[in-house]
Amino acid sequence: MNKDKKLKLEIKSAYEIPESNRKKDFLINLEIPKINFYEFFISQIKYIRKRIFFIQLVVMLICLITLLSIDSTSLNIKYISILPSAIPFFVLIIATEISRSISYNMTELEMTTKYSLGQIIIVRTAILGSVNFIFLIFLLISLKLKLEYSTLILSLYIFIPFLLTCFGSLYVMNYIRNKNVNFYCAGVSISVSLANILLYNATGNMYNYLSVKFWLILLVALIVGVIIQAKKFIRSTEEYNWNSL
Amino acid sequence: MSIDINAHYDCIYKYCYFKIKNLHIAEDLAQETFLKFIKQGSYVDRDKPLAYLYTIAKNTCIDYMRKPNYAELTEEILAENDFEKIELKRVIREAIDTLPSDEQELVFLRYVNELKIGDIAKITGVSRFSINRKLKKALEGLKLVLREEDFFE
Repeated sequence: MNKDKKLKLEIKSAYEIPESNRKKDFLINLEIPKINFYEFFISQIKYIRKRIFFIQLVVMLICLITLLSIDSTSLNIKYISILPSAIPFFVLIIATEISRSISYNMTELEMTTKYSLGQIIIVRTAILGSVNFIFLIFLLISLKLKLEYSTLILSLYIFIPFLLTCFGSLYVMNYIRNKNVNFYCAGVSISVSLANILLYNATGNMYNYLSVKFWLILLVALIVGVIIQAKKFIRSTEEYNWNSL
Repeated sequence: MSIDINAHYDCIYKYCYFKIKNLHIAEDLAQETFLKFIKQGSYVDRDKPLAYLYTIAKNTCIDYMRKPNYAELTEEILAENDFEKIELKRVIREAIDTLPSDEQELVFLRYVNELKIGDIAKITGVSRFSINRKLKKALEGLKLVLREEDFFE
């Protein structure tokens, strides 16, 4: 053994002390503060992929630029039918993030945390949903500035495709639990988007074509449907058993 | 990143013992260190938690030494059967005591608590380069003292 190594070993052994007999009691009685809900909420932002926020921003900017670039004098509702058709993709962005734990079998990992997978999903959806909601409000204001429609009609114009995609994506996530769930969600978004374009082309303005009452009933039905599907989805996350995936 | 208290308990205990030279008081101070660390509300997610923990331990020991009734303690003779081992420990500790206080601390953190150079740099606020240089100098100093004591015979 060389001199340096011998010296280092002797230095270590020179400060060896008897094992503590109070350590065990101290550690048992130690009250470690747990993370509170606010800190938990904020901490979840870090775990959402940054590109999700980036894509949300890009989709929003594309919508806004498209809207603002249309000449208001020649403005026709048909020209901006592209806008609600883009809304399902806002939902798709959230769906890809939420279904990530299913796609990559992260459930077991997340089940070990203090908060359940259901709570984690609610928080992440709330974060992404809040961002989307802000974007949609921006879109609504922009549309209001460009079009002479009432706020109610414009709200229907934006929120019906949004809620329809939410409902469809949640429905899919409730019944399909494998790595392909993102593709099915993409299918839902594209279907809603295409249906929106086709209906606009067929009817001129479908929100004027049928009575406002009909669209309001549909809006309420979709809200109820989304709540039911969301509850089902959250409840299903509690049904996972260890190693069952 | 947070601290695993169970894993660091012995190191902080030893560190306090290195400062205070009394096992019972060292353990009191080590436990006080952990309580302060947790009380700061920063147990979860704080930058450089290890440096923060050692800083609390150091300040807790300094506070204790500043007390008016504090009297410097002579080293405790730990129960050991082998007389040669006791003598060797005494010689090594006395040799370390001859080093400047900052070098003593570096030697302790590096070779007793076996901290990485990067962690020591965070704790002491000194660059890695400077720590390596000081450790080299400290080892040379120790070799010189111990050669007189026939340590390397």
